[in-house]
Amino acid sequence: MNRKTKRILLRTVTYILCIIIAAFALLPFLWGLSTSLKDNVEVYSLNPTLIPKNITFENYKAVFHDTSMMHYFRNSVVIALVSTLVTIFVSLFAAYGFSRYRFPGRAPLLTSILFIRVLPRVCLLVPFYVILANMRLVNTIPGLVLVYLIVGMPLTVWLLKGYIDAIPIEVEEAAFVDGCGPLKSLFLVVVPMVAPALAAVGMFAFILAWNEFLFPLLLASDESSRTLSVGLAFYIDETGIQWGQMMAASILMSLPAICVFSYAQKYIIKGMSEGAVKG
Amino acid sequence: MYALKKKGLRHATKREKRSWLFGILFILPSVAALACMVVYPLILTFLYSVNKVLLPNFDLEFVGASNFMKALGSSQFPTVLKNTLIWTFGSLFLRFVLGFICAMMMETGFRGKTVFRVLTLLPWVMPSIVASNLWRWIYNVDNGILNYVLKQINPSLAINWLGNPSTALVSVIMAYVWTGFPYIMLMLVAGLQGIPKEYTEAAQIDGANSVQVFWHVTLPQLKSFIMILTILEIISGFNSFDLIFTMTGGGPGVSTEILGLNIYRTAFQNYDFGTASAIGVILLLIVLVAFLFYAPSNKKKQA
Repeated sequence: MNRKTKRILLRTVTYILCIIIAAFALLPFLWGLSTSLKDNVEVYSLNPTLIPKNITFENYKAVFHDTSMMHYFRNSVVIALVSTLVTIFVSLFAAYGFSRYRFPGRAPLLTSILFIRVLPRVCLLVPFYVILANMRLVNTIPGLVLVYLIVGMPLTVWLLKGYIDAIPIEVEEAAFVDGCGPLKSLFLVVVPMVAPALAAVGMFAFILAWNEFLFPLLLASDESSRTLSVGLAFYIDETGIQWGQMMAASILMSLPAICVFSYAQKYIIKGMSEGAVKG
Repeated sequence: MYALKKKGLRHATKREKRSWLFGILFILPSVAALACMVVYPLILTFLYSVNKVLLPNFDLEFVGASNFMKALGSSQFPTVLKNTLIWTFGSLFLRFVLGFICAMMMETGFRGKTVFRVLTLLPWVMPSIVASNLWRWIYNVDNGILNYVLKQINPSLAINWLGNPSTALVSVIMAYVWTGFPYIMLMLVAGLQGIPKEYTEAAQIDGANSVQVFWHVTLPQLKSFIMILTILEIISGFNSFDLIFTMTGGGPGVSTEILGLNIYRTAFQNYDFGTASAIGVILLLIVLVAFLFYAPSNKKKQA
């Protein structure tokens, strides 16, 4: 076998592997998308096709007309937005403090924040339930926002700290000379410089909150505070699961994540790969 | 700056004290959150694990180690532990195989590389609940695409994937591998990019073939990366909940129940908060040991 045939062979193998893996990655999603665009006859057809024969948006319409789904959707949006805002504020202060100041207990604290990321969250369920029950916050939105702090915070603190570390201290020193306090310097000098990263991290926190399932499953189990993720897991009516609608709702729920990742991919991937090494 | 720390509070200058004060003020909100939402709950978990928790007022009655006895002695515990280990290490292995193949292909470079990367990231981006729904539909007994394809080959191949004790765990693992392998790919690609090109080039000039280069140059360089990833994956395997809970609920029987689901069921279906906390403590200790392997390798990398 000469060099050239060997190279062609290698190429072919690479492409075949690529196609197999891409199919494995994509087909489940495409299949769901296709199902969501079919009418009920076709969804349960004995000879299903990947491309729907007649594309219909009935399933999507049905989801949008489902009042309880829309209610869960609103809950998810409110909870994710509020918890993202709180998380970003808390994390921004923390990241700035950890990045710019040295104080006793700094290193152990940073490690403990790192530890939250790997903490088995199931272990926290019982105490969370008891704490929130004592505060009469079970099945309320403020209760969930409080709990979501630990969902987003560990990652946002570490990501933001990385970005603030990258800004040379000299930039801020100029501001200090001009009489800026640390708080002013944070908001007038540092925040504008990390603005794109801050936006990406904020979106990431939003997605984490949006996707969260375990905590709302237990702590927001009644109709009024239920989130979309939990609603979707039990999206069943008296006749059983309506797979067409189920797929339509699932596709809709994944849209925010897909949009955010296509926009903020650069920052998140960079942050995640650094995150695995650093935090 | 670190040297200052050694001098202790009493000898610190006014300026250092000021710096401490500001630093502590900035991190105060996050530390408060940490104290209320992590430290305090963890203390409660340990406390409950040696007490009987009486509902509805959560009064405590000390029972010593009996919760642990009950948890470890239950007839289901060995199955649950076995499932957890199969789940964690099975998915770890498959994720790494797929992730590695992808990363190596990305390294060789081919036309459409960027498209390939973006497309394969899709599963990782999916919310866990959506991933669960997509796979439940694929595995559906009567209308699922998997059984449809299998029926074309041989009608006897079509089975109830999630309802059969012998296939349920493997089926959920496949879905879990699906959601996780892109992350391994991303990390390995990042790791590969960190290897200086001179290393591989030097080996090639010395006459090493591509397998040798991979085995003797690439892999050793990636070692610390792979270590960290493995530990993180093991931890997240032990911590998983969402996919199994929504796809099988731990069933049929306890054939797919892992530690996380066992805790949930003990606490909120049997209302035995004490035993649930005892299992929680066991899970915590496992994860803590893994984390201690992670933290030092982490420090080395940072330095």
